[in-house]
Parts: sequence; C-alpha cells; structure tokens
Amino acid sequence: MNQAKKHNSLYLGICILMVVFLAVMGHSCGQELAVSEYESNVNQITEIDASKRQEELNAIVEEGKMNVNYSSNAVFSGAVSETFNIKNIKNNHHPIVFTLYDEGGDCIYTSKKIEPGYEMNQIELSKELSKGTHECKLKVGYAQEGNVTSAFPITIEVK
Amino acid sequence: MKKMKVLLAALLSVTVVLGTAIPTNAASADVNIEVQETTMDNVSVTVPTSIPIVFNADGTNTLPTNWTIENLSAIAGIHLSQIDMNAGNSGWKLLAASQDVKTISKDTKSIKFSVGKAGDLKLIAPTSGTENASGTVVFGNAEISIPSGETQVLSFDVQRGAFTKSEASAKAFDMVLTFKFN
Repeated sequence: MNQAKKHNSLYLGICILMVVFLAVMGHSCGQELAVSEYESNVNQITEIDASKRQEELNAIVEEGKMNVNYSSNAVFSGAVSETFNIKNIKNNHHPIVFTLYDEGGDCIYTSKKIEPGYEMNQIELSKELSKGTHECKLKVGYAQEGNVTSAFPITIEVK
Repeated sequence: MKKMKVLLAALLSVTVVLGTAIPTNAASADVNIEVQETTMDNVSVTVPTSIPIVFNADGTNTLPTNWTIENLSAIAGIHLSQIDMNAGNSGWKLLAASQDVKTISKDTKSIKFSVGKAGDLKLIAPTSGTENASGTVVFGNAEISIPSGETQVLSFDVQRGAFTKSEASAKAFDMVLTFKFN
C-alpha cells in the first residue's frame, strides 16, 4: 500500500515537472516568435535626413555654377564684328551657348557650343543693325546642363 | 630750405639705420610686374545654373542655401533686375498671391515661388490670370545690387499642396536671370 502511494507520488512529481518543462518551453518559443515578428515588421530608416539632403542640394548648385565672361562693348562693321569677346573659362564644367538679342528683342545671333577653355572673338550677325549704338542683350547658359540662364547688357556699336 | 635739410638728414639717417639693420646675408627678391592691356569692359559674373528642390514627405521643402551670384568684374557693378520662369510643357504652373495652396487638390503641379534676399522675398507672379506656366518678378535698381567684387545669396520659398506619389521633374521650369549695370 505504501509502495503504491510512493509510486503515485513519483508519477505526480514527474507530471508536475513535465508540465513545468512544457510551460517553460512554450514561453520561450513564444518569445522567439515575438522577436521574429518584430524583426520582420521593423526596418532601418532609409530616408535621407534633412541635413544630408541639404548638403546634397547645395553640392548640386555648387557643381553647376558657371562663370559668364564677356566684353560688354563690341564694335561691328556691318554684320561682322571687329571687336567681340566671350570666354568659356576652364573652371566652367560644361560647354556654353549664347544668344544675342537686339533692342526689340529679336534674335540676331545664336552661337554653337563653346567648350571650356575656349573663346570666341568674331561673330557675324544674322541681321545687320543700323549704324550707331545699340543696347543689346546677351543671354548665356550651359548648352545642356541646368535650367537657369543669365542675360546681360552688351553695347554694340555699328560703324 | 632749413626744413628741407632737416628732412634730408632724417631720410639719410633712416636709410643708414636700415642699411645697418639688414644682415649682409639677407635674401633678396625681385619684384616682377607684367602689364597687360587693360580691358575695362570685361564682365565676369559667376551664376548658378540650376535650382534643385525637394518636396519632402513631411510637407516641408528642401531648397538650396548657397545660391550665390558672384560679381568678379573689376569695374562693373550689376543688379538683378528681373527673373522669368517658364514651365514650357512640363505641366507645372505658378500661382498668384491670391491663391491658397491649402485648398488645391492633391497632386496639383502648381506652386507659389518666391525669390529674393533673405527676409525680403518677392513672388514670381503668373504672367496672366491666377495660374500660369510662366511668371515674372521685377526688382528695383537697389534691391539686389551686387557691386564689383561682391557676392549676393538669393533665397527661395515654395508653397505647394500635397503629393500622393513620388515623382522627379528634371526640368519643371526654366529660369532666366536678367542683370543690368549699376
């Protein structure tokens, strides 16, 4: 009788241990599942922060800067220039193009590309201006890059 | 005459003092001056050629802070007299001051664009109506003046509505800066 009681106590003890073991295992498995779910749903921030974005934009502006370098007075004999100069200095990163407009806003000359390190010293207008002094406009920008061009005054004297 | 003598004596004494002060083994340097034909009508101005703008997801905008015009001309002071913007066929438009960007529908490519010195920005107004693909702003002679050898930073402000899709417009607008001499 006592032997049977001992066996029962032993079985009960083993059962309790198994329950405790299974409970502990189940809990730890649950934790692993939770971590896995966490990892799959939470990602590293890939968006660029504001200061980095600002730096990038400013770098684009800096890289795109262009030096406009020309003579503000030009002398022409008829449609052909006697003195005229525009430079695309070496520090400029890209070829430039320029256009000349007369006082009425009509285009009187459009250049081809001028590579960095080169200058133009003579042009022939597509339309001959009358003798005298004309306050014209020179519009210049990079041939392909950028979307900002600049217009400057140029005085053309026709002999 | 007496004064002249005193002055000469003083000059001589200075020369002597200097002569004795300079060590005999002092290195000498030649001063070479090369004179080139002076071209007083040369204009040299450095200008930006693009305005990159980012409309951030949180509704803010990132605009360049180094948009600098540098007048390197030896004699010519200049001023920025006008800015023209034109969207061409890009689909973007400029809004008039009377328009409220908060009330425009989502994904509308219409903006209010202001430019000028920091703290004194002016709207680039549509050439006609309350919304247009092109716009202009005119500045007075002294508003954005850049004397010879000086620089001027331009600031921008953009007001716009919400966008539900990411998009990159390589050339939303073309811009022309018009300068005049002071």
